[in-house]
Amino acid sequence: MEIWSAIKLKQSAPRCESNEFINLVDEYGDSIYKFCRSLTYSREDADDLFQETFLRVFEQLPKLNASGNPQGFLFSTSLYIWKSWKRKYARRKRLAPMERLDENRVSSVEMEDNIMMQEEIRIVREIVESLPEKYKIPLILYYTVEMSVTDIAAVLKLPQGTVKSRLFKGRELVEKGLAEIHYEK
Amino acid sequence: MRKDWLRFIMKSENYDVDLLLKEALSSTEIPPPELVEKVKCFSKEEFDLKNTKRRTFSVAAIIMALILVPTSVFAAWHFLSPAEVANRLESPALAQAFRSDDALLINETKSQKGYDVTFLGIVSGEGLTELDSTVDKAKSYAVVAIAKQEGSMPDTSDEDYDSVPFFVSPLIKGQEPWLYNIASMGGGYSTCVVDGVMYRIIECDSLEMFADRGLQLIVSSTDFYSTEAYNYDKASGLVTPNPDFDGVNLVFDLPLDPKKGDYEKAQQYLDSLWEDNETSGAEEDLVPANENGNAVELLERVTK
Repeated sequence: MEIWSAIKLKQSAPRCESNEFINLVDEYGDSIYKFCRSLTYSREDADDLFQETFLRVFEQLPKLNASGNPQGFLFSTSLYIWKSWKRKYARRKRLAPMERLDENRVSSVEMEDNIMMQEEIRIVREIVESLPEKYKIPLILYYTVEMSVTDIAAVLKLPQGTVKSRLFKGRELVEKGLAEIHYEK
Repeated sequence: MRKDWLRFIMKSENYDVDLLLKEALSSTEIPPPELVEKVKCFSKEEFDLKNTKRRTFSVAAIIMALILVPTSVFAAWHFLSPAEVANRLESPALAQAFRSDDALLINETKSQKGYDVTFLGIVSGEGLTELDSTVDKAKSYAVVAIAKQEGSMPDTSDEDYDSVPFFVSPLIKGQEPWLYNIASMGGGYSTCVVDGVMYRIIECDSLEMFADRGLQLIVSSTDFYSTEAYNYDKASGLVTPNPDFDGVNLVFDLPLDPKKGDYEKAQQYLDSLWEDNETSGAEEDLVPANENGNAVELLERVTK
């Protein structure tokens, strides 16, 4: 038992070099991952973005501390990397149906055989996906990451009023998209 | 059917776009535990190693391009060759394929509505890109260059990048284009903008098996296949541009060697495309609507 503990301790030592970093991963890992999944087209890309975000943050821990807003710093970093990748590697997009954002939840819907609900979810997601970034990103932060307007403003470095107005406009565009489907012949 | 449920939802007393967005975008997904563990194991050395690896890969791709591109006999002087585009998109295997004898270099330009669209070439093969997650399955890759006659195409990072969308897709002669296009054929694309010209590599399940049937390549300024942009003639099995469409609606011939066609295999593939959807209800949605043309409209709309 003692030997096992010693081995475990030795193996885990490098991971404990920075408790601060590990705490960050524990506290914000889930929400950053949701964000990454929403921004990217595949789980693989999301995993890459997630890793790259924390790699960058790991290197910039002093800056993160100085920011006084670790959440804002993390999401800004993630967003910055995503935009950089788009510039560097250009856009890669699958035309096949996107992977489901939440397999567990959808599968429960499938169990209920609720096709209408699936369609509803799929179409709203597609409309959001097609929105300009300035509307899409605030919507993802608000609805997927469940961030407050204040926090979104900090991440996007925008006044709160601008965030509110983009959320409003984003909702309006989604509603318009749905209405177009409804009213077209 | 889709319209019916949307009408139902939107007329419902409980209809609220805020609730719809919550329902559609909320997620309980969490990162895989192994990914979290991996991230927690980061050290400065690993960070450096990761970045170095990436740079090395890029340099290798550039060196490959420098060595091999001059040997290519292809390329309109102001466009990148398909191999160069593949290199730009960091797909060296695909670049190599475009330099091989198997590649078909077309280099045909058509102009419309202020755009010059050039069909540069096509190649098929297995495992040529990272984008292709099914490496054991043959895929086809076509490269198209889209340039503005005046000015530059917006960069991929520009906010107005998608202000004029482009849909590039192969079509199979005799198959309804709204059902059988890049979106239903395991398709995807990569785009880059170089010197104001947009290059798009499209990928889909191998087209060679359809070579004996005949193929077309369409480029339209739409999000999806559009019946407003094209007319489909059942008799000939071909699409033609709708002259009344206000936008780009080009059609190129896709002259694959008919000897590469495999009618039976192709038919099995076509049949299989809709098998999966029978269980999801998609076919139920599409087929009845397709007879009066509505399905196409719905497919377009949901992608906007």
